[in-house]
Amino acid sequence: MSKINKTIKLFIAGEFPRTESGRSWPVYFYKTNKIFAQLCKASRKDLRNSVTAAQGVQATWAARSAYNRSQILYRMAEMTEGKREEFKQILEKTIGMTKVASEKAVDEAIQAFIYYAGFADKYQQILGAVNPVNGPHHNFTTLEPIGVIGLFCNTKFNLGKLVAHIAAPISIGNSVVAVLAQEGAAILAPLAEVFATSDLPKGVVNLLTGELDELLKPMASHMEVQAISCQTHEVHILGEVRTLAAGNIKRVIPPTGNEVLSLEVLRGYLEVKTVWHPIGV
Amino acid sequence: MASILSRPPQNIPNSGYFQKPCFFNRVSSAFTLSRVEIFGPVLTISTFRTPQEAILKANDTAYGLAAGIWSEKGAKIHQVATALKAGVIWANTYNKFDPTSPFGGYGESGFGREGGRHGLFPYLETI
Repeated sequence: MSKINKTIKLFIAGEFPRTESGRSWPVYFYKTNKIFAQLCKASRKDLRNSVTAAQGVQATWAARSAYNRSQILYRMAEMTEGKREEFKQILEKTIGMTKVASEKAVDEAIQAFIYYAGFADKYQQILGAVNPVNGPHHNFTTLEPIGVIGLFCNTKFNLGKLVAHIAAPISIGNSVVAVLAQEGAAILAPLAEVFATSDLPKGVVNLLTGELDELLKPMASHMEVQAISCQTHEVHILGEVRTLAAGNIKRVIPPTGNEVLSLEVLRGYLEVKTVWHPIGV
Repeated sequence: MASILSRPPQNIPNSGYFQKPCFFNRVSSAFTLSRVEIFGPVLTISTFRTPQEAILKANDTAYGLAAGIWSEKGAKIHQVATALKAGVIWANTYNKFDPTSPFGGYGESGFGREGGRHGLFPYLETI
């Protein structure tokens, strides 16, 4: 990709730090097996720092108007379009995608940003309700963000799916700590720059590269993480996540299919609030 | 220090697990008494001076099943209801239930909702 030796940094609280552990591991050119770049191998402390950042900014982000969140997500689509070549290069060089496949993958990522940008100011009307209760009450149900979402991605990399599972929760006002493991993790470089240049408040999205086995437990048992989205098809991992998540009753969002542009996905990242408002008295 | 404000005389059986109703006042947010769900006839009372303080105290817990607001002002009810982290918020009433109204909590108060359209979602394949 580049002629200079490069370590792809983490993305925590809007900054690009190296892992505090100083560890890295190489990502190779798919064809030649030469080193493409170094990736940071995030530690538990990096993960906890990310959660602190995500938690700190979440309420402010949720307080933004739906329209503003929508605009910011749309800008992410624009930024992705601008970095199309960089995304494609990484997909082709590190995981051996064909030009056609990488083009399609970037298209899907852009579509995911646009789809959830569109729904940011519409999901409330579609999924909310006014409930016909018996008695003098205006009873209505609104959708609220859950809080901090921990996201684990499939080791079989799918850019559109990754972007959808970041765009959907943040469109509602959640913040996200995503762990990209193994295949395709080098995509963090352009993706982090998309978030960093889209007017997204610092800390709403945090991206880590690291090992699932090391980071899964601290994420699933972290008391400040309110939901965990396990977009991996490794069943033993899902079982372990569910057990650890029970500690603070985290919502566990099981793997969705590849159909990631749907209200069904959005609904996984919502909390439901019902208000009984008096009428007349 | 918290103190028991009132413990009305009441006949309860000698055997089994029974607790007389009681009220605690001067309870701060740091007390376990005000942070956990006590499934018994125990009421803790703490005071506030501004709605903001009341919201902070109400949200300072890992739970969020239900909350109640009492106010003459509709605008204030909406403002506080928006800020509270609870699955059900009763305004100028309490413990109302209806099959059309979703019931269930935030955070450690559990999963899912019962009642209303949101109670039906888990039974559906698509929406």
